[in-house]
Amino acid sequence: MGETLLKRLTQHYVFQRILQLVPVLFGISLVTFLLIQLMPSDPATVVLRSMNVPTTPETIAAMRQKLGLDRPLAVQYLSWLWRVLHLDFGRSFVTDEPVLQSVLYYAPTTLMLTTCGAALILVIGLPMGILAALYRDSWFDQASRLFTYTGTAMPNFWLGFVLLYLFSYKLGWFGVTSRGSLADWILPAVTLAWTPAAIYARLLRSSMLDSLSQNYVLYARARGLLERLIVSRYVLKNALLPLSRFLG
Amino acid sequence: MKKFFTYLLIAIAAVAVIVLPSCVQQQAAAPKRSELTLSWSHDVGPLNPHMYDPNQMFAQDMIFEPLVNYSRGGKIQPGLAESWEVAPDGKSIAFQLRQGVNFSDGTPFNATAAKANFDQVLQNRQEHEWLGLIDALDRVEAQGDSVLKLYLKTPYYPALQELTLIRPVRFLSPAAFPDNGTTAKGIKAPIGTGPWTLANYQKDNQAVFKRNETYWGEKPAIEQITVKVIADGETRRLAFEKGELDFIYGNGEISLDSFKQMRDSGQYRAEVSQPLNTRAIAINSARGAAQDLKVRQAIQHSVNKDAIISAIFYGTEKKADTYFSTEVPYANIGLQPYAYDVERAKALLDEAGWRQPTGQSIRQKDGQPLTLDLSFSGKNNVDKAIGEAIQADLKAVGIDLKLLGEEKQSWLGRQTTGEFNLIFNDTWGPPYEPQAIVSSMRKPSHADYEALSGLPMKAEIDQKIGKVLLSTDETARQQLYRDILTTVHEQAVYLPISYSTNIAVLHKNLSGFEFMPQANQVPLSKLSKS
Repeated sequence: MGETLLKRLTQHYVFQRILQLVPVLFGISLVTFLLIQLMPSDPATVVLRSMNVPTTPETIAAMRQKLGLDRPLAVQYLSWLWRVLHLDFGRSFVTDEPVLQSVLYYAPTTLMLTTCGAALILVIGLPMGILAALYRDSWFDQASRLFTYTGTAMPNFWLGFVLLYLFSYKLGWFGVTSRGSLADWILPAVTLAWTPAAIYARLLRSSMLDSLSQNYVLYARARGLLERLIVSRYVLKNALLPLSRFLG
Repeated sequence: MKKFFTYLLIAIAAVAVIVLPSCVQQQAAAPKRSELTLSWSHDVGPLNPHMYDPNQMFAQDMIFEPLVNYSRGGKIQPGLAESWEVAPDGKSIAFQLRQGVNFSDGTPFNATAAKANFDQVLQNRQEHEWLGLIDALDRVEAQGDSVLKLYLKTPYYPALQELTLIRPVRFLSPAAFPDNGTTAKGIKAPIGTGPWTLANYQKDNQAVFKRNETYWGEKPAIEQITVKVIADGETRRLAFEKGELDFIYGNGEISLDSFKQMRDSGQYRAEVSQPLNTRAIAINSARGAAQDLKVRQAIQHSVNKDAIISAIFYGTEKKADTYFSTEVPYANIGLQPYAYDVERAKALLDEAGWRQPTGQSIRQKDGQPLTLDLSFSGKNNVDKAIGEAIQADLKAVGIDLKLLGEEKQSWLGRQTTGEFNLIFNDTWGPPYEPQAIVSSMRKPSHADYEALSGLPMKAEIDQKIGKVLLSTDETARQQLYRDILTTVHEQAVYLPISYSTNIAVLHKNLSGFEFMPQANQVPLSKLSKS
């Protein structure tokens, strides 16, 4: 009985979250749309310039009409929204390609990088945070602290360049420009993962330390449970809670 | 538990130590002698010869050819046309087309194919009207297989110069025209008559060009060129030094600091091209304190261009004394440069009534400070650095220069509306000079027009510009240009800084390198590798 209730509840919760996405996406699109209106430059003029057409009032008016920019803002937004709901994202003003096609062209690379990056964040951040907490103030803890400082202090464009310089140019392990093999994803993924992994490890360490000093840990120890069990069952589980937000 | 995580971490480290070195790329091993790799900051684009951005000019130039070619100093050479004849009234040009030329898909290049290309461009007239040639062009006729005749509405002497341009009048195989609509909407494939053909294209990654084995002219020594897209200049340099790129070419493709270091290292061949276009600042003669000729002259005398060139350009650019370099046709007319002379500038400002109150650094007139603004695109670091140098120079003579770095579109907007005192406004380089720039001096919505708009003799200049473009008489043309360029120079509406150049860094195993006459061409056809 209790189990089915729990099941229904989570189903309900997930369902709720998905429903909540709708107004959020709607809000984002509205704000983005309005922000674009605030830009000092007129899209019609920008398109004309990119096409090399002299920007006279007549050509601008014609282009505004062609792009539908002469309609009231609300109409522009609603017509865009209507078409987006039908999965028609329109065409790029500049390249004249369908927007969806452009997005899909770049999506695999983005997904691959995000996946590799996220995997690295977990693989590096998780054990480092846990060990740093368990061996508090040891040499490992100090080293992980150093890792965190460098990770947060270096902007990733710089980190990327330094990695290229060291591993591609000096050591010659990777190509600077090559693309295709799995190895070519390593440097970009490391660059992307470094800073978040450092932050993640540090956050995990402090929330682990927090959990370790809780009464239930003391009680568990008093009960004579194995340390391994205490750490994995009680401490880590609770310590991961505040971090799930960060990873999300 | 502790142990488990320690083992896990050790395991990860071990995997990293084993995997990473095994990733060592074998590509460094002897790149082929018949292949070249270079990089470009942008994707080459769809390579439509009749269109502009995002098509990259150097790549359009590799595949498509003009009727006539431009060589240094403005001389016109045969291209797809072997010879040509301009009618005495200047209103028609007959081209004798080269025989036996085929597009790389086998379609013959003849008068019909050439006319079809012109018609595509003319159907899209509005987009090309900035170019005087298209504006003047009435219609094109094919006479037989080998004669192409252009009819102009009015005589337009620079027609031949403008036919050498990389776009929009180059020739696409009619088989690659779209089924519906014009080439303005897109093409089936980039197929031209040039020395290279596009073999493989991966958007925003790389484009591979192969030698056109049926090319009518001298075939390139290299068989294959790979153009990799690298957005960042420092990465480009690393790739070059590691040997993944054979050469670096262009303007702004790497920082001048990198260029200087590589040149000084002696490991590579580093070259600087002839002057191409002019880095200049237009001074608005219709706005604020710069309405006064003496103030404009004072600005000319107060800027230390030599210091700018050595500090910002490491001597890779030449000082510009006049708006057009003397290499530009009709521009070698012995204009007197404005020398760097702070005392002279101060005297001029005094004469103009701008006095320096004691204890203050900025001059005043009728209680108003002498303040001007200089507009530039905020992301352009070179313009920003020049602006800062000029700001310091002008402060020394008592002018307060406000730097106005804005988003690019706002900066371009100021050029067209004239809302500026000083604005960066580079010339376009050969073969647009001098005619296209001079022409834009009389068209509203250009910084050139706005800069000149406050001059008392503006109407007279406009009239002479109108005449010079129509004139069919060489001597009259020379005289008109002399008048126009002299007035513009004397009125001090342009502050030329330097003549910009292309730079090239090559590995020493490359030979046959020489710069091209047009700024946007990359010299590939004569290169060879040992």
